[in-house]
Amino acid sequence: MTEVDALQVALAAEHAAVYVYGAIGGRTSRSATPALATAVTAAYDAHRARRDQLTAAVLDLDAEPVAAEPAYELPRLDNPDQLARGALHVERACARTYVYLVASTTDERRRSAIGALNEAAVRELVFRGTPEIFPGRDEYADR
Amino acid sequence: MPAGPALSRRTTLALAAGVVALAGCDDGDGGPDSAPTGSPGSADPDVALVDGVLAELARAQRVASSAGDTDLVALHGAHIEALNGTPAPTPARGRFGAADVQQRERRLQSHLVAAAVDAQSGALAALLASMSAAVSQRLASR
Repeated sequence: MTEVDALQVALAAEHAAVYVYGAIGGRTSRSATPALATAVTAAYDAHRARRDQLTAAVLDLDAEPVAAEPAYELPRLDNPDQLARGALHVERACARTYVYLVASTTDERRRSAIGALNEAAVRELVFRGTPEIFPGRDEYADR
Repeated sequence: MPAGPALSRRTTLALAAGVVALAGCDDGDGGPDSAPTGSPGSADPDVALVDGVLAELARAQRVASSAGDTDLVALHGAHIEALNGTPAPTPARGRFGAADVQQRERRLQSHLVAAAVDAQSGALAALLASMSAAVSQRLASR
């Protein structure tokens, strides 16, 4: 697995995150659940920024950035609980992806991946996640 | 506390690399994500790096223990175990307070990030980065 491959995996994950957060945002009521709406908007913006950053990183390495899929499978998003659960799922998936990217990069790209991992782990808490012992590392599975 | 027999630091690092390789994150082809090779007589810079991380973890665990923060004591204990270190001795209660804990945790988080950036082994970097994220979660939830 090359650094470019790992960046492309992370970029694909961010494409999916932006899509899912777009769907979550479209179903979140700003009047009924203002805190959730604010958190979803902030997460959407953060993932868009990471997507753009990863796109630039891939281009810097003279590769063609992976494109977004036309659509992604969505979880059920019919009520605030499901919306928060969907967001939590996205953050956990991104945390796993960034752990992978940390292992496959060096220097500033690694530092950026560590920052993204930390941000995703903290956002998990906003969407009712609980603190973990090893965020993003399923193999340690909070034993 | 570590459940099994103590392993050498080099073995710990190799095991950490193996975990990531099994997860499909490291093809072991000698790139930045490869484990330390550990050839006889070679100085592995990650050993000193892990020693530094263990020292910071031990300090943080002592402060948390003194402040009665059992969640952080358990967290740091798990992280020390993952690096095959020895948990810090339990200090007297009440020497440190919540503000000391917060300050120490921030310092630890920064140290973990810096160590993750500097690690030669990609697998070790991933482990340290995950630890930094765990500390970030605790800081955010207080």
